[in-house]
Amino acid sequence: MSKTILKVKNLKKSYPAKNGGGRVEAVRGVSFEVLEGEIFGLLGPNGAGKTTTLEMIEGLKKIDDGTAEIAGLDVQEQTDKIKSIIGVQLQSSSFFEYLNLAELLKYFASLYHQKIDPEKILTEVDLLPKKKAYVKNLSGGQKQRFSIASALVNKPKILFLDEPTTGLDPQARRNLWGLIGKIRDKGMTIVLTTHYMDEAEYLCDRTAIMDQGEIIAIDDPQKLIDGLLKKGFKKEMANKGANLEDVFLDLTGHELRE
Amino acid sequence: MEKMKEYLTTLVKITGYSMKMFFRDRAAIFFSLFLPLLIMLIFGILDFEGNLNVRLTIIDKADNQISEGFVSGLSKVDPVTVTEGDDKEAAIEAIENEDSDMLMILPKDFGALIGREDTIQEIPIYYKENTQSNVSQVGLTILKEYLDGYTHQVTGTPYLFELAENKVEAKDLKYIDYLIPGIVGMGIMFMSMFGVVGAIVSWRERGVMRRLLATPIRPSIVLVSQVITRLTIAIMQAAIIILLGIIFFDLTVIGNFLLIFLIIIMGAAIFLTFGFAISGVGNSQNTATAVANLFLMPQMFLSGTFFPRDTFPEYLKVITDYLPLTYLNDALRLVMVEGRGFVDIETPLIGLTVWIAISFFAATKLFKWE
Repeated sequence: MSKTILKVKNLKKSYPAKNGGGRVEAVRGVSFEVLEGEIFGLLGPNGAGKTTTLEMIEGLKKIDDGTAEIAGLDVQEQTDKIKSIIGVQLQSSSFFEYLNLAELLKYFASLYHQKIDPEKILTEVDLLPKKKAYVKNLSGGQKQRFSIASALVNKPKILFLDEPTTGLDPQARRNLWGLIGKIRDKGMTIVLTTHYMDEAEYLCDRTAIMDQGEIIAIDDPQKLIDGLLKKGFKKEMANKGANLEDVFLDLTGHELRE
Repeated sequence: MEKMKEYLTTLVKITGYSMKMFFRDRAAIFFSLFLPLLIMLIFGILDFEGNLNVRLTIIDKADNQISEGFVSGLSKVDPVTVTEGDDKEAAIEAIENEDSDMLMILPKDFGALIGREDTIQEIPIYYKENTQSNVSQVGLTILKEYLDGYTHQVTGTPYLFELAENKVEAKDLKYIDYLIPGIVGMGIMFMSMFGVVGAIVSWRERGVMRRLLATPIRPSIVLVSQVITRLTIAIMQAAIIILLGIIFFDLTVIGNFLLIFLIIIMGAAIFLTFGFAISGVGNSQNTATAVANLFLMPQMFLSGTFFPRDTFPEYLKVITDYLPLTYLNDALRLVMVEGRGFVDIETPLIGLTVWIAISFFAATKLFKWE
């Protein structure tokens, strides 16, 4: 049994409503635990509160109520310490325009008071040939891989990825799944959000399904599926053991288009 | 202590990177370096010295109806700007420093001798000599003719007078000596303001700020490094403009370089800090740039960057006295060209200091990270 690295208890967050009075409850009492070395997924539609939950844990958003603990440190009390032991890839973050990839990694490392070998990290994410390139000249998949690279400069204990594959083409998605799996295999704990079912099914050791600010189910994806089948569920369309994506990838190949 | 050392090491590193970013951004280099140089070149070659204005100080010792009529009448003559004074020494010093072109002293018995053909009234005139422009010559001609016409009109009889000419050795400033400190001031203003507004707003828009907030560093370090970078660039920019002025336009800089350095830092600080404030106004690049332009453009034309503000109507002159760029331009001019020292530029220095305080206040109220 592995150790628990992240403990989230009854996390709540509300915003003032945009039109008119009242408040919108974005996260309404979310609790879960993440074990060391696993990939944990927060699965849910847009607006389910996945990103808000993640950003509270990362110390980017104030927690209204509840607690979050990473490696025994309380997020609200030791925000700076937390930030130095986690790696963060934000949903839509960008980087400075006129620094190349190697320089950006060194820049970020200096924010953690660390010295790094940018080439080593770039090799890990398959971007070594691009070390002198600017971010704006990268493809979507390369940008996401670089974003993950930037989250690795401080050798974090846990890596948070917010919708890492949104907007990528099938080849780039598969490639990123491979990369995320590779990072986990080196012993990293990963928490990611996604609204792609296949992604959660393929990548996550355990996944929490979120809707309207609440977690409505939490388990190994395979067990969730088994549970549903036990209830006598039958798919309307017969399962053929392959789908259109498999056809597409078979026809176009797995090579990256970048 | 250890923390302090870590902070400084990081600050040095990221400041180095932000310098790198500046020099790779061609648009930034164009606007902060080539644009001021281009404007300097255009104005320097056109040489607006021909734009004639005779700045005349009159000390009216007679203080009678005839002398008053003379002064108010002369004020309406087109290329002459009349200032009434009472201190002869100060008025002569103003000519030496090129703050004034001529001084005319109306004697106590001005007008009393009109009609007496046996006496010639002597009217002392001081003007700068050794000058490359013809302001003095034009001024003398205008004065003689006007005096002649005026006395004729008042009395109907010829009035015998003689202008007792005294030449004052002036610093012999050329238009370019006036222009270049203005270009330096204007360049600092644009570079500091647009540099900061452009960077901060685009970082906020593109989520760079948010990514930085996810690291353990105090995000203010990024702002501090921006300030250091921009101050350094302001100094370099001023140095390049001054150097090219010396090489190509025969600019004479006689002031103390340390003092010039101080003034540049103070001026840049004002516009940098206002830049942080304005970056918090509105959410998009467009809004922020528009507000910045609204703040900068009037100053460019109203702060005596290209031409002295002497020709402004009085109310405008009073208002524009208080603009930050006016203080910056004035201070630069007084030190660079007139070689004034610390105590002589007290007024613009106080003005700059007050503006620094105002801009800091505005920045603390308006700046936002996200």
